[in-house]
Amino acid sequence: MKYITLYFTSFVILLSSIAAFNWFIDPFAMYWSPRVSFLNQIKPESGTRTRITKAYQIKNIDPEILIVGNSRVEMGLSPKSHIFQSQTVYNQGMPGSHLVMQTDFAIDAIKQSQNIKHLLIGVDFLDFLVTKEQLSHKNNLLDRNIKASYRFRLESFDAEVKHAKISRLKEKLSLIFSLDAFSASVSTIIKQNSLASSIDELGFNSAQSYVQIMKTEGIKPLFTQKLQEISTRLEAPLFITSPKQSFYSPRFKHLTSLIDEAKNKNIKITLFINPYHYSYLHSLAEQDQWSNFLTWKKQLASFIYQTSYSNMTLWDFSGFNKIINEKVPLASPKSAMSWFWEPAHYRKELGDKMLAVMLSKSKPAIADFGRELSLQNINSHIQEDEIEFQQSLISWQQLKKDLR
Amino acid sequence: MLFNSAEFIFLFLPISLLLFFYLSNRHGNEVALAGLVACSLFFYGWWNPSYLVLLIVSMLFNYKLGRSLGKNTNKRLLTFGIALNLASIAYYKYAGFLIVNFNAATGESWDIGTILLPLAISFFTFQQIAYLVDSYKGITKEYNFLHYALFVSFFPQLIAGPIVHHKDMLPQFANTQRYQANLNNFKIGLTIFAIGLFKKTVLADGIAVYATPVFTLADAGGNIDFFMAWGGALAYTFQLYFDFSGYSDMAIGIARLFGIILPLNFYSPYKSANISEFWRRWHITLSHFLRDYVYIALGGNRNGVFKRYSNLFITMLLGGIWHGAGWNFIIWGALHGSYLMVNLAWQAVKVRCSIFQKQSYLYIFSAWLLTFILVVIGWVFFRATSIEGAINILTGMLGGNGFEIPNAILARLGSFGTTLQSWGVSPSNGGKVFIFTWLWNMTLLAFVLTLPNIQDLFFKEKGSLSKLNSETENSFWPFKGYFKYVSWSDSLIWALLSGACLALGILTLSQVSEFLYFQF
Repeated sequence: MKYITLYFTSFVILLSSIAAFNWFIDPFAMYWSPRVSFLNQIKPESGTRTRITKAYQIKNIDPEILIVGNSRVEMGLSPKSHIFQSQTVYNQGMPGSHLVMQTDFAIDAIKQSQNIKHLLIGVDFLDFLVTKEQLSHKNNLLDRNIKASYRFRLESFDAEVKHAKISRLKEKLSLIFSLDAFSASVSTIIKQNSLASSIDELGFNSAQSYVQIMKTEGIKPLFTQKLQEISTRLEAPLFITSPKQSFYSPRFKHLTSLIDEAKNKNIKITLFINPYHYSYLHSLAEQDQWSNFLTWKKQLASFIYQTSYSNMTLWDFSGFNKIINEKVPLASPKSAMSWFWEPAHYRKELGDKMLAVMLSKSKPAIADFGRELSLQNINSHIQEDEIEFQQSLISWQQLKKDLR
Repeated sequence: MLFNSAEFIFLFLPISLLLFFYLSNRHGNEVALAGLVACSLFFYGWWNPSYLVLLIVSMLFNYKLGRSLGKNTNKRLLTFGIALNLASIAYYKYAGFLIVNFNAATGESWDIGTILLPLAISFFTFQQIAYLVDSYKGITKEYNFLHYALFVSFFPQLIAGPIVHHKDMLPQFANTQRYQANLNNFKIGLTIFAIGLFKKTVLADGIAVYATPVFTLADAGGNIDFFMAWGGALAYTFQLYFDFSGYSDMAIGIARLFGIILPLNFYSPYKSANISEFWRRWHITLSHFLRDYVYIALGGNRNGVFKRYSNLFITMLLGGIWHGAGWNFIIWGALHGSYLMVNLAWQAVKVRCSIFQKQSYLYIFSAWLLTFILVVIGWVFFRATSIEGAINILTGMLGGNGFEIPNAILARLGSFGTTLQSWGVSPSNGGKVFIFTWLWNMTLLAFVLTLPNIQDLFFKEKGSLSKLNSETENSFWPFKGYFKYVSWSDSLIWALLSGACLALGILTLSQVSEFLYFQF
């Protein structure tokens, strides 16, 4: 009997030790344990689980301002920016998330909280593109499948999900009682002194892994890889609208749901188009998406007009200007850019400028960075974009040559 | 219900054990066995209750037929029985494949809809075919239906083997001594189960994430370079071994808790230094079935060299088809059939020319390396879902798709990285995946080559029905001096280590886990 007793004692001790260790190290950034330097101060493994942690973490923060979007806002807009002053802000940006997921998470946050007064929604062109099949089937099946993967986490959707409470409990337990969590905890300790991205308690991604890549590999592979990714992603035919259907991309329905929810609570909404490096915009054009990009801007302007919500504005940071046209320092490949990490993601410094434009409405130091779009001015802005796009073509050809 | 699931480990298994020993104590062995049959049927019905009917009908039919064959050796009746069993498996497993190929050949567009494959149909059908053949030969005894039903449905071996033989199992069920919870059986059973769980959930599922994306990319027509191809193929090689052998170990451990000893299914196959040895060590119970009921039935080695070779090839081809309906399985079977024929010829040449009679360490190592590479090539066909996908990976393994090393590594290699690039190595993405793929592969290669297996560890305690013990013939076993005589003992260290294996295995339950052998 001694053997069996020892067997189960070993089992229980190891299981509980690993669970306690995981709880303390908290590799996925639930922020339920104290943070200790050189042990768990930064959370390098947290970036892979934000869709889980951000669903639960927001309850603890109960913010006044909520930032919604994908990875661009997650690593571009810091809730600790001085622009926000003393207001509590939570960055709910989630990398690679579908628009329905972004809006559902935000809807849940609004329903759960009485405190949210302002939504900052970063909209992204790629999130509005659909396949031909999705255009005709109105996305229903795709939406259902995507929703099934996360809705159990969102308490306000409990009526639609079977055993949601149990699923939430199981998921939270797995953040402690799992081998995944254990290996992530070990990795967290090992990486404390390294340059690794980490999600802070307000949901902001420090994007430090870019600094590390810049130090070891330089900027060239980063640009090459990202531009290649964009081309690959846009290889299949994708549409922003169908002449036979509505003027809008089908994805606008998700935005409508969020805006309706915010309207009910009289929450201020600031929609904005993320800034993209000019190489990103030219990559879109090379995949025949430039006119769709401009159409999408028109859709957004029209959408704002039709929604007729006085507490909502739309900003565009994607127009060409000194920032967007920033030179890629290929001559000194291990030095970083001032405003961008790579073509698709902007730095916190640029995020601060955007916040200054949107929140304090201070005149941007650089002309044309941040334009408030409306149905009245959209056509003239698009004409400007067309002209400036042509003007930057030579730089793009040169950059492509240099990247080869 | 998987063995590596919370509902099995914390509910089904303890309840089944309690019920079995309670019934045995209160009502005797027969009632306890009936309880075990009920538990087994519940276990099977957990996935899809409607297929329980198929299992029960199959058991009733084969039992009655076997009894008739035992009394009256009627060859037509035997043929009818085997044909009906094969027809059922053909319908569920191969109809879709046959229709697709018929349509492709004739231009027709027949459609039989989607047929759900009943779980473990290949396992329980083959066990029963063996029973029918042996009944016809007069080998079987007068078994009662309850024992027979348990022989077919005993839940530890029902889903993924080992493929049990009636002569091994039924005498154990007919034990006249009352079944009682036996402390020694519990020690051995719990330890083997914990080791199996660790192999399946920590090792196999751990390395699976480095195999699956490579094969998915290959099937989708993506570029698979040399290092990715070898990394993915090796990762699958280890995933499959630890997955299947871990599950077989769990089966052996669970059965032992009930006092039942199962046959061995794996005996360190990747130590084999020739392909015949590999098949003596890989999926042993299937190899035995194919040898006894296909190869020997075809004539074995009785009708000359040509027939011997062709029988070997046909047996392996059928072995391939047994694993699944698809051209890749057929190619895999044909490949192994060819390997075995070449090996047979080589052994004959060795004897005739009196060469390599005394096997040097270098010879053994070279033979092992060749065998291992050939097995890995076979697994590429086994795992890829299309012939094009398999060819894509094999082209990569031969260097036909280029050589890529992640930029993060090349950058750190400094001038050597530049030299590599001048030799044609291209920079790529995914440094972390690259490093972990090869770390896992090298670690598990060291495990399979150096560590003893369950049979060696528990030989003294009769861990399985096999008589193998620390075999070294025709195998490559580095550092065997350190590990050959390691065996389980009723000691503190074994209790702590196996309890730790259980804990680590349990910690994987909340993670994604796929079990590969369900499709067979």
